[in-house]
Amino acid sequence: MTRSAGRTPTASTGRGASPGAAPSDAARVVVSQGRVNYGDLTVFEGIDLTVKDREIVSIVGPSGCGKTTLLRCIDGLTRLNSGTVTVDGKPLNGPMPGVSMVFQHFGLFPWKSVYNNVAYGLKLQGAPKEQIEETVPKYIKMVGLAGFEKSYPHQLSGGMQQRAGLARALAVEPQVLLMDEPFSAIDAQTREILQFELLRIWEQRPIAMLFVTHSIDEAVLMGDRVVVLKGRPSRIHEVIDVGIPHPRTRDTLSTPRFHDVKGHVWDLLMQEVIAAERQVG
Amino acid sequence: MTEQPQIHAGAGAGRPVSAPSAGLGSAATEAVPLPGEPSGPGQAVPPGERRRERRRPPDWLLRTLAGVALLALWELAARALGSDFVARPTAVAQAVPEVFATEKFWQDAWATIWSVIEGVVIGAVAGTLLGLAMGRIRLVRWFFTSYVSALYTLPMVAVVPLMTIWLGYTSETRLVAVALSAFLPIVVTTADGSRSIPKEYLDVARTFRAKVHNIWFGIALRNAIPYLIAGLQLAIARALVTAVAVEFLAGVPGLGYSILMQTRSFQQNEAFVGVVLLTVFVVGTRALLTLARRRFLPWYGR
Repeated sequence: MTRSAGRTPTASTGRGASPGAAPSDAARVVVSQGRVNYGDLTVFEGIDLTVKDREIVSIVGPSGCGKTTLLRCIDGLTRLNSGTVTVDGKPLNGPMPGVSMVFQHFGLFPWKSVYNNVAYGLKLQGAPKEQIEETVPKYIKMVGLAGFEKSYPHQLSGGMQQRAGLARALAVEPQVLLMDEPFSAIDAQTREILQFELLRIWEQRPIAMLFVTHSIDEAVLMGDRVVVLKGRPSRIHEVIDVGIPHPRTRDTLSTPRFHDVKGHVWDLLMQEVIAAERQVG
Repeated sequence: MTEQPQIHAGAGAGRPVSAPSAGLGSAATEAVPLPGEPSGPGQAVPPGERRRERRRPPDWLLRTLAGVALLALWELAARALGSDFVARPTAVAQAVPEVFATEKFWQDAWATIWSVIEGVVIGAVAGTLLGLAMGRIRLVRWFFTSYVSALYTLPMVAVVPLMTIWLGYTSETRLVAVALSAFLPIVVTTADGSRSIPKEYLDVARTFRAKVHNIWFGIALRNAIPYLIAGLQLAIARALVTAVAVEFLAGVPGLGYSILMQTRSFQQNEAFVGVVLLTVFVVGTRALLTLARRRFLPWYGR
């Protein structure tokens, strides 16, 4: 089902722009024949998906297609009803070290300051005090929240809260970063800023990343590959190689390649919407 | 005509009206407050003063006025009816210095209030633990829910006579009854609070592989604190009712018992001083809890 739109990402996609950022073939996450059902309702089935080291895979699909559920299965928060997930070759049995998640509604604890929210994962791991004191400020600075360490979530805007959520996920220095519609609860301008900042951060330290979104633009901008989920129950309809080199900037949005890929994904998803409307009508 | 309400500078009423009305009941009752008339602009307004507060007198002033008006009405009604059986606010006020000078009054007051404090602390600790367990463990919830709600609706006064059989006419009976009546509202509210955790908090905790105790005491308990504070407010009020009831029914020495004795010997004014003190205690603890909530849970609204 894989349609190779142009050059494959593993070949000469120009990612050598940042040295050492070329994707290695090490598969960080492998989902095979994943299926989740709630009673008689099958959410998705037959999902085969591999995320390699230093690769961003976007997942798009219509509402209710199970994008978030799939991500939760990879995080170990939800179990597949059949099929397997492996992370770094190890079969998943609940949440794994080395896997972090950024949540749609930030999931910050209102009773903790930004500093303590960011330190949360490290503290649970039992990291030594020195490590926490060194790592936490580093990531707070990286996401642009320096000076807000002592603020509480309710004192921050949505965009700043999600920066803190990102810092918390990064602070444990994961090998796999799962993003569950991280910017969907954030206003359009801030969202755009955060998209590029996330790309900057990723380009500094490229890791395997899965990015669930319902925005086609975002999926294409962020992803090295875009996975389109479709149908009832949903399956992987197509995997598109975006083939736009990093670093990606605002200019990426006006390249013909971005336009083409976006148009292609749009067509795929619109067929579904139109079909669904015909069924209803 | 000034923009800000003015206080007629009576004895002890030197506080400017524009100061934030943080204190409860600190309004000087001797001073006659005159609400200022709203007028045109031009007066200097302290920074941070909200517009709304410029147009009408502050809340505490209105509340104090309402209280004074009620007391005045009571006084007038008692005088108009010419009845000597009804205590008058002025007579109660006159009785205050005399009552305050007696050592027994303070002994009784302390006995009652201390039993409430002790009982609430015991009830709160035990109630929080059971509430947490009920909030987090389905089996525990399933087992206890109906019993807790049945006991919660049961008036504790009804079992006090039975308790005197088991524990005697002693202050232990009072403590047990008080602790039990504080325990139940805490269990109910803490169970609610530790059950209604936003799902995302739990997802975050699980993603970072939190242990059970991390979730119980790091998240469930923290999430339940606003509920716990609401429960404490209920608990203190209930505990006081129970303490007084036990004193009435079991003759345990305390403020409730002395109120009963004074009433029986027609010392109404003195009895009322005790009633007022109990009221001040409940209102005071309530204000403290509200203050604590604003200070420590600023995200939890007002």
